[in-house]
Amino acid sequence: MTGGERVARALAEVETALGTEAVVRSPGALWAYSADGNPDLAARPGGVVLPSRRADVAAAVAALHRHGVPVVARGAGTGLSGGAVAEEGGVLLDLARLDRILAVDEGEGWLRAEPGVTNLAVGRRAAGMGMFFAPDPSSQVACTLGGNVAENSGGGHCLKYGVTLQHVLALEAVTAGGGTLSLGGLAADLPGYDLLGLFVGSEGTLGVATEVTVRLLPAPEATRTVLMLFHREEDASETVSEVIAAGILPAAMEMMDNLAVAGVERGPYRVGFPPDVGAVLLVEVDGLEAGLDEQAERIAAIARRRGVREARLARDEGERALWWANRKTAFGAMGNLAPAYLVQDGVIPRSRLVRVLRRVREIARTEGVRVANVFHAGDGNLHPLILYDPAEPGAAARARRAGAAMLRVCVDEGGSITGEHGVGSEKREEMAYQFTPAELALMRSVRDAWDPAGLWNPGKVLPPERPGPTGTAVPSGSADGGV
Amino acid sequence: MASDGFRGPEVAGRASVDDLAPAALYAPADEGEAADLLRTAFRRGWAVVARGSGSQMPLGNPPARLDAVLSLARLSGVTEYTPEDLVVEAFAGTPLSDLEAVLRARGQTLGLSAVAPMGTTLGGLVATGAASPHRLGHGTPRDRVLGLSVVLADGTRVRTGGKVVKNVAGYDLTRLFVGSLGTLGVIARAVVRVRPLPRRTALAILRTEAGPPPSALLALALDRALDPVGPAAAELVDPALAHRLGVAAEAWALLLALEGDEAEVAERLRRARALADRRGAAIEVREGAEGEAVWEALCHALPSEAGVQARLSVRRRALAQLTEVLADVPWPEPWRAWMSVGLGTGVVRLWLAAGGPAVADDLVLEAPLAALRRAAQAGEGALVLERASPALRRRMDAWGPARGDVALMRALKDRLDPRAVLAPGRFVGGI
Ligand SMILES: Cc1cc2nc3c(=O)[nH]c(=O)nc-3n(C[C@H](O)[C@H](O)[C@H](O)COP(=O)(O)OP(=O)(O)OC[C@H]3O[C@@H](n4cnc5c(N)ncnc54)[C@H](O)[C@@H]3O)c2cc1C
Repeated sequence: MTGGERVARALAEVETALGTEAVVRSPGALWAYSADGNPDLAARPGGVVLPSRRADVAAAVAALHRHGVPVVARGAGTGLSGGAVAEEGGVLLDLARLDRILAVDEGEGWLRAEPGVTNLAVGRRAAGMGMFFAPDPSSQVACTLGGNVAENSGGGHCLKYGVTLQHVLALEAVTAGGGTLSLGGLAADLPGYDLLGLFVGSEGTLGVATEVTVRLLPAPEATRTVLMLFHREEDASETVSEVIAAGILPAAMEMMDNLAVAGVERGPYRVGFPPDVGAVLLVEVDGLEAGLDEQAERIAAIARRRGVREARLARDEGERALWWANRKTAFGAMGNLAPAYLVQDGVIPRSRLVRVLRRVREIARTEGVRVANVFHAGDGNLHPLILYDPAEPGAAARARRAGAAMLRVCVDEGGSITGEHGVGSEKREEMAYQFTPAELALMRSVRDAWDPAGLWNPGKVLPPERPGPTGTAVPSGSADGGV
Repeated sequence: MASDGFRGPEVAGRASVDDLAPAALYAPADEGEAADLLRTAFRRGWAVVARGSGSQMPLGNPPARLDAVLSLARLSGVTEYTPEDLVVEAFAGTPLSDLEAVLRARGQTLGLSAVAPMGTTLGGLVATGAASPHRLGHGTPRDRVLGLSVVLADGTRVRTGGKVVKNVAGYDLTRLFVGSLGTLGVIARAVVRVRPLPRRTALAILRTEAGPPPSALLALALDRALDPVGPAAAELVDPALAHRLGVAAEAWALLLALEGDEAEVAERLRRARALADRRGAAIEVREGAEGEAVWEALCHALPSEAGVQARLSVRRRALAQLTEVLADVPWPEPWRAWMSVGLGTGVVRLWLAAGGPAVADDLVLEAPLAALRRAAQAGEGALVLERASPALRRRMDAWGPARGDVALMRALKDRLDPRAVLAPGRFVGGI
């Protein structure tokens, strides 16, 4: 039986169980599902299943896996590493219809929802109770809670509050074969291995989350947002590491370089930055009203020692919102500068910022590409946006080469190839920069323990195994008779 | 295998884990030697238990088998420290007190002082995942450990995570090893995210009376009235413990750890006073070192003295009821109990000591502890015996009944340690 026939049979079973409106199989409609936020990593799925009830997820997965059909969960498809793309004719599980908030407990401080709810909807519900959900990816209008869990997403305010994992208390998941699993709980310290910690950030390769319980924090009672303009990018970078070294933990420290500023200033949320600015630093401190001005002043003093050109305190909530909108739409604004861009997501120890940004520029020069930097500076999480024109011969390849070289620099500095966008299919080869074969083999055994048949988002996260003599993959270590 | 780290049977007796004596104690001088030992053990199928200072060996179930003990005592010291990045890396055998001294010299702290006896090592902290009352403000080892160097069951050396605060490359294996009690690999080094020392700290003590647990203070677990005070730790201690810690003569006392800048702490104190007023409690404030000494005693002194230590955790909705049940337990003579209730965390620590010099049989505690375990389970939580005689831990299972996710835990154990050489039987569900 060919792969296509297997998929057809499995989808027919899913249709019987879930109804015809839950299955998409017309080739035209399937094209719409062929990419996530990274258009370069497209592949048309073998079909799409759209469950409307949580129980449907288990039923659909059971049928698909029984026929050996790979399944790829999909939230909003805003991922940037090809995670929600079904390669090799697998079937997508589109979770958009599962978007209900199921329960909240203000006293205990949590919210439970289906995976397709947007990050913004969770945030709004929390705000209604005087609380907040800390992970705030710039894509929060669209991206889903399930996607946040799968990618262990971050955002501007993760510097102080931590990434998604720190805020997930419990989840229900459907595992290989359609079984269900509960992880974590409302009580702390449940005995056992931290399977919840393993699942969060596993990019849909261990199962699909069908219900997520997240922690809500009391909203900070006061906030100061400071915008700082620097002549030189180096001074902005040094300010970032000196603030941290001084023992101040801002809620957010976001940086944009000159080219990024040029992009956002042509976008919908103009702040009016001078075109010759070297770098813009957006810093937010929050907490008790008492002492907040002093904290903001300590930061400004550090910036002044670094020759800051202008430091401005947000006048009101409106101005603060504009500054953040300007920052959060930066990726999209690159469209104003070039027809295409590649975004990288490397992480470095923040004390190496100056050195690494210099290396990034050298690489860009060598490859003949332009690069704009917009990033979570406080975390050392870089986002070099490599601009290129796909119509120009060889340009895409040069952009990719530049990106790979930048990730190598991050690893050489003791960092990581990805801080929040995930490995997906995009960076699976680059995993070998960061991990030894033994470490990759260990990750593979973890995956095998959850999904022995490899039917969850196959091909993602880990590099392909060494091809054997006949071109088939062999488990590492067995080709030469074992280790 | 290098032989100078090897200690023969004459020393091995002192390396007993619970009531099992290993045939050998091995104290490798570096990670390479540790890997050599594990490679040999794996080939021969020896059961190996790793130990740091040995202070937390009674944690978990007594091992099912024991051939060798791998002491990490010689793998000690800071290997890399970049204060400006707030990141430190040290060997597993480094005593926490040594590590803390290095950090404090640069105005920083681990901020993870576990509820564990003095002498605990970094590796012990990581392997047990032990949290402190300050987890409310600072998180647990799972949140703060960024990366590890681990020797796997077959002697393979791997690194997990890294030295950066954000990292989603591949699976979060660091999380898997933290709290795995040496059943998946031996931790040789750990990278931890440290914190700046707060500019000012204060302990606010809110006192009520002896008698039943004060409902006005227990209500704080749910009514969010502590939010504006923002304590880094909030522990309600019973009258016996309050007395023992010297914070109250004979009364329930709520200990609030307040931290931050000068002005911030002043404001937190003002709010704590107002709260005490509203809840009918008296308040006393101890600034700086004087307040910290109380937390030290709570975290380190009691665990050293108590024969039995249990950790109960429930969802916070169930906390008041559990506390009431706890306060009413008639402990059999000569056992006396102290307890500390984490109002923001839902974690309760219970210490039991038998008065007098005689070694008391803790098996008499089985019935009341089993009843408490049922109460914790009713609150969606668990009771873990962190310290007790091997006999009591065998009878009750230190961890309690496994949950639905145990099959996956076993699958992971089978893949990572197929010959079950690493601390077999010590972990959840017989792992
Ligand atoms: C403009 C823009 C800005 C961005 N900014 C940020 C940022 O600031 N920080 C950040 O971290 N990310 C950012 N991202 C990346 C992306 O938005 C996040 O990774 C987001 O969490 C993905 O959510 P999604 O619902 O779109 O997931 P998708 O793209 O649909 O899926 C992502 C991965 O998760 C898996 N998945 C989805 N749902 C589930 C589920 N229920 N169970 C199991 N696996 C599942 C998929 O299989 C896939 O591997 C940005 C993206 C864009 C386009």
